Amino acid sequence: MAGRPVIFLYICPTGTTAALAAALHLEQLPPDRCPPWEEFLALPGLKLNRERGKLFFAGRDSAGRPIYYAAVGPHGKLAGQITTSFLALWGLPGEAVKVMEAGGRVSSLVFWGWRLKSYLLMYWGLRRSWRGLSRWVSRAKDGDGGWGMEPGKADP
Amino acid sequence: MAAALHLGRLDPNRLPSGRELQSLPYFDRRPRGMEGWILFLGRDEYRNEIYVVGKRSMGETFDNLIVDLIRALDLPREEVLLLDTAPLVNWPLAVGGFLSRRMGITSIGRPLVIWGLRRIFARLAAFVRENRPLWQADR
Repeated sequence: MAGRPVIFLYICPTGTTAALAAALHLEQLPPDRCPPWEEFLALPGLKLNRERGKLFFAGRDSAGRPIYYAAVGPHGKLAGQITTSFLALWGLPGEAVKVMEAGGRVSSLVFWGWRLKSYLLMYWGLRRSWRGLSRWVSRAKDGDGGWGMEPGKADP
Repeated sequence: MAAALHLGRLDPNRLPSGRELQSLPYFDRRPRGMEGWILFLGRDEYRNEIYVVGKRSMGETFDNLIVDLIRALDLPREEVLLLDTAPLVNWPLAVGGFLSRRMGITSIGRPLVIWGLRRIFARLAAFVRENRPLWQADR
């Protein structure tokens, strides 16, 4: 397992914010402004019914690190603890999977928009929190190079 | 209790006393906030490692997460067997666990937990017995 990069796992109750955070991480979305309404509706992560707990692969970032996102319902903290203790069973360091809870980084309007199946409400909430979300993703992204590897080097 | 039955620490043919149940590791003593931590309980006669974890109301979210973590980390899937005892939880266990662990009212919660466990003991023993071929296979 040596030489593996960190796996980034963005989570949130519905998976929507986590998917957007993953897209921001992968530089598929502009960090400084929320995409226009038409582009927002076409975002691949914008799905109202996503199976909870499933890890969706979003891509690899410029450092070669795999980026996943997942919907975990109201169990964000629990999902983080499960992941950390699961890694320990295999002798893997806790930082092998970086669990990033994105749900708390956006306005609650996003959650309510999801509950009410209102894309407009979700969009409004995202517009209000976009810069905060992208700053948070940017900090998370720059935080770690990987485990068991030299900084800046991805696995082949 | 299912893990204790698996490990032979409880006789599946005899209803355990409240005192026996209370002497089991982690029995109603897990500190608040420790749900989600996977705890080692011991090794069975086939050298399988037995763990327990409290997953609250996560349901299938837990199984999905573990299975997909295994895949993402490229770990051997066949080495992990998830056995969900949540469907066997009855109301005394649920209410007792809530009072004891979440509210800290052990004087009411713990007797309820013991009562609830004793009521489902036979079903839990059957659950462990029926699943035994899963970890006995190819041993």
